[in-house]
Amino acid sequence: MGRLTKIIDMSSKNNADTDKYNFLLYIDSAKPKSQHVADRLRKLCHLHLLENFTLEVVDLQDNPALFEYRRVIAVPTLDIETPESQRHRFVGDLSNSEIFITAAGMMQEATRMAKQAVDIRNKIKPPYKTG
Amino acid sequence: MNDNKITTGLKGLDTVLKGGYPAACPTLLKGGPGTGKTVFSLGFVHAQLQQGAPAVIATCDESPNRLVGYMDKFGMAGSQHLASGKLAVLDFRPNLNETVVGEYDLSPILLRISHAIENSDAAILVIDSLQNLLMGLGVTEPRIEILELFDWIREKGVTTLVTMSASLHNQPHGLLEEYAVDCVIHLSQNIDNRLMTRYLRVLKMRGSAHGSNSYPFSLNHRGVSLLPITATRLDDAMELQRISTGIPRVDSMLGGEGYYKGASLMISGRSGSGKTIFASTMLKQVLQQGEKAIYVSFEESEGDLKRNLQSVGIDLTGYFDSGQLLIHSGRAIEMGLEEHLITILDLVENESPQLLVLDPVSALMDMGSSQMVKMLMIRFISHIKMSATTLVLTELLPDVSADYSELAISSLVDTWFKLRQVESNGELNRLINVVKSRGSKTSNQIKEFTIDDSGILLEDPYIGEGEVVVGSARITRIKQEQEEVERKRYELEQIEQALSTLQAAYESKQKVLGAEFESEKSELIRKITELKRQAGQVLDQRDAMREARE
Repeated sequence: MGRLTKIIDMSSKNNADTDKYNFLLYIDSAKPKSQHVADRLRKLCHLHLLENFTLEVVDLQDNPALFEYRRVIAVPTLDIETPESQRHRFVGDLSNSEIFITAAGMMQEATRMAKQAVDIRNKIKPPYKTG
Repeated sequence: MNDNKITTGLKGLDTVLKGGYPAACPTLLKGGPGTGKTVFSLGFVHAQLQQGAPAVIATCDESPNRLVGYMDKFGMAGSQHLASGKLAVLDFRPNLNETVVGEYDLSPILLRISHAIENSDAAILVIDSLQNLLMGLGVTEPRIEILELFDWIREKGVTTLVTMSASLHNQPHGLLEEYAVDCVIHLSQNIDNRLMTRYLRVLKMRGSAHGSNSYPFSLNHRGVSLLPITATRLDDAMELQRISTGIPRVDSMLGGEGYYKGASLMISGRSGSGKTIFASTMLKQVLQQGEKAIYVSFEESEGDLKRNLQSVGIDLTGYFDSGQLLIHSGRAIEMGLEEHLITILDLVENESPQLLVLDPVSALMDMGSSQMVKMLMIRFISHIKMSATTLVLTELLPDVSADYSELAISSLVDTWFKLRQVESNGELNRLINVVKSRGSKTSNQIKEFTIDDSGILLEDPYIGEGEVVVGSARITRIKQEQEEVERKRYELEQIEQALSTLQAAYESKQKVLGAEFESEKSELIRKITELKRQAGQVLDQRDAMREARE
């Protein structure tokens, strides 16, 4: 249970950290399909995407209660929380990397557009300062 | 109760399964949408929790909160069990935002379930419903990995109930039915005459006998109600106690003391022949003895019935208010025949009344083919007999029926009354006769009865010239008879008077004669005395003369 609360606390803290993607990877160390998925994920991110992410790996064997809490039914499962607090869930060993890359690219694009929108809004209507 | 069976929480289903679900094995409950799969599984969990066995529910359709809410609604104390830790609900609802990016293992399912079972020490597991478990992954058919779960269930000896949706069309039996589970129960909905009835059928059960028919069941506010009314046996207990019908002359038509307790009675008659009043009289008699009764009316609402009966002096309001009498009224077309009968049997099971009235049972006739209705009525009557409740059926005969029973269930009932209205001399007169009554010396007479504001009254029978005379003809006959008697009585008086006159004449004559006799007698006596005296005088004179001469 200690581990569970630690992770939940961390993710809520990261919500405030608007720049970062929070990756939470659920694996079952007893299963072959879970073996190298963390490495594969880091590689994919490094090649195609973002550098600013945090990665936490949770093993089912250590913490079945967290799997219950997060309603995970398959391993590996990857939960991504975007800087806009959007949640995405990917199931599978990332062997079908194209879907992941496309989805992740769209996520990034969405983040970029959201930032642009904020910038434009700020230009049209500068932040109102009181006093 | 079999050792390797576990109660399902439903008396009827336990009977069908010969004890319950197979213990320490998975059972598959398959059925289309709305057939009651969830309610069956909640009932099972509740029954097990009541016996102190902790349970785990893996829900794939409803949120755990709603599921526990259903249990509370059905009176299964879901929240209490959840709070006490006896019940654990695992949330396996599919996450529809998932993107599949490669191959995966389903080991978390087994681990989460086994974790929950080990934590709560549960021996009962419910998975509701399996086909939705993998929906988030785009899989609608159970995968081989699911079989691992079933193997684990058997290994651990967890009694498991798995529900699964069956499509509305027939589909070939899948992997689950063929291999993975030990018992398959199929739930379905059938539409007859636009009325829906739910059915349950046991497809297979490894290593055990089971009922093999399609059993109707109903879902109501208390959950599932399944009475295997096909599983009737002819071993009802013998009942010797007699109960009065409330009409002494009808009792004497049945051999003096009324009908046997727990018998089934039928009252047949056309519209307006007094069936309801007759049945209500019997009802009131039972209520007066302080017993409970149920009145099921397919024609009248509760209020109408009470008012109409009040007008003939049968006031049931008090019994109704005290809860001794339960009036259940509803149109026959409200639900299917099976559901009607289950509702009624359910009422009987819960209330165990002394008397049950169905008025009129013929209203159920239109609910299916006559063969089907007959078969169902056989089961129904047999089932009621086992509960020792007296059953009173009224049968409405159509006006064209020539007074023949159309239900063809008369051979099932113990006592059968026929009410008739006979037209004669420009009026309709009510007649009653006992067609049959098992175990009683039955009167063979047709009796006339009238209905007035004090209820049913059987008239003195008048049988003359080899036929029954009823109505005003009967009254005329009685009058004629009375006149005849009067006439004879008058004649008798006349003769008696003549006799007394004769007597008086005789007596007076006798008096006159006596007087004459007396006077004549005294005259003669007087003469005799005179003559004697005269003769004495002569002798005296002779003596005096003799003395003087000497």
